[in-house]
Amino acid sequence: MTAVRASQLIDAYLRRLEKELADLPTAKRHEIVDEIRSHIAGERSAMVDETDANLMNLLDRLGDPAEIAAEARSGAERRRPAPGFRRFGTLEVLALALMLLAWPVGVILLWASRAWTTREKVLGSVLPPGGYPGAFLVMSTFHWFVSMADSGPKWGQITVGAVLFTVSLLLLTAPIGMCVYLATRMRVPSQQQGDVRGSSRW
Amino acid sequence: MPIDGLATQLRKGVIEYCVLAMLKEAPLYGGEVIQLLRTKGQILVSEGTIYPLLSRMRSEGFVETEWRDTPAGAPRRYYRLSRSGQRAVAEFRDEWFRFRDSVDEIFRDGGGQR
Repeated sequence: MTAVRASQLIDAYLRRLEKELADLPTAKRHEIVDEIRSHIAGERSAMVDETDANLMNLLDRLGDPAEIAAEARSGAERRRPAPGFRRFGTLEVLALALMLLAWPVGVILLWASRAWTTREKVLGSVLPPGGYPGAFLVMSTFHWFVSMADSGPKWGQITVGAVLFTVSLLLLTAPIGMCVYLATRMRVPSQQQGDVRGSSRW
Repeated sequence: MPIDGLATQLRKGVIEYCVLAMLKEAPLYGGEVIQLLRTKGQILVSEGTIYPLLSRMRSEGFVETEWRDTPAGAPRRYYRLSRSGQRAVAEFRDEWFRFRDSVDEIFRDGGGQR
């Protein structure tokens, strides 16, 4: 006996599978369809008696294309919130660099990006006060404190010196520290996932 | 909940670890994974779902793949357990035995209905 409808059956099955997988990334879809196509070819070559009924049983065992697609999708959903899904976009790199060098522009880009949550954006805008230009501006006012302390007692000079040293250190490390923090928190949603996840991150 | 749905739920969480465990012995291609699962009873219902599963495990880094020529026909994609896959299997194994023992104990005691 032969399977008169063989190619018709298999093509219809693969077409349905393609359709069910339509919302998946192209590479993923091709991988799954190609594997299933070669699975069918392998099973057919091992078939002693290739009849329409045997082919239909083979396709039945493979399962409903919708079920295969559901399995493929369940994985994608599970991976979505997982850490490690990070990608550098030009906007994000520019935002971080300008946060240090040209603070107001950096902050605007920070808020324009969808890679960070509102909380991270607020932290990023407030904690390094003005990036390095801001830090140097603050530090340039320190001579005022020093001149105040000069007229005071010796212990006053030491205390003011120590405090200013600590504050300077913080001012110099805060912007770069915040940039590192923001870089580790960055999540750029990919094209097709963007709308779903973007809403919860704004 | 119908018993059918229950079986599906139970299968879902364990099947990928069963596949990983099978790859411990030797690299396999998809068809071999399916054949092996067929001999292990009702673990796999829709055989086609193994392919998205394998694909996902590859994305997650639990398996690595390589194409191998076959004597007759097209090359096949073989799946091999990676380092992180080995760790995942070991973790699952410990977790599963603990879990299974707890469930066994509850049912041995009469399902906690005494």
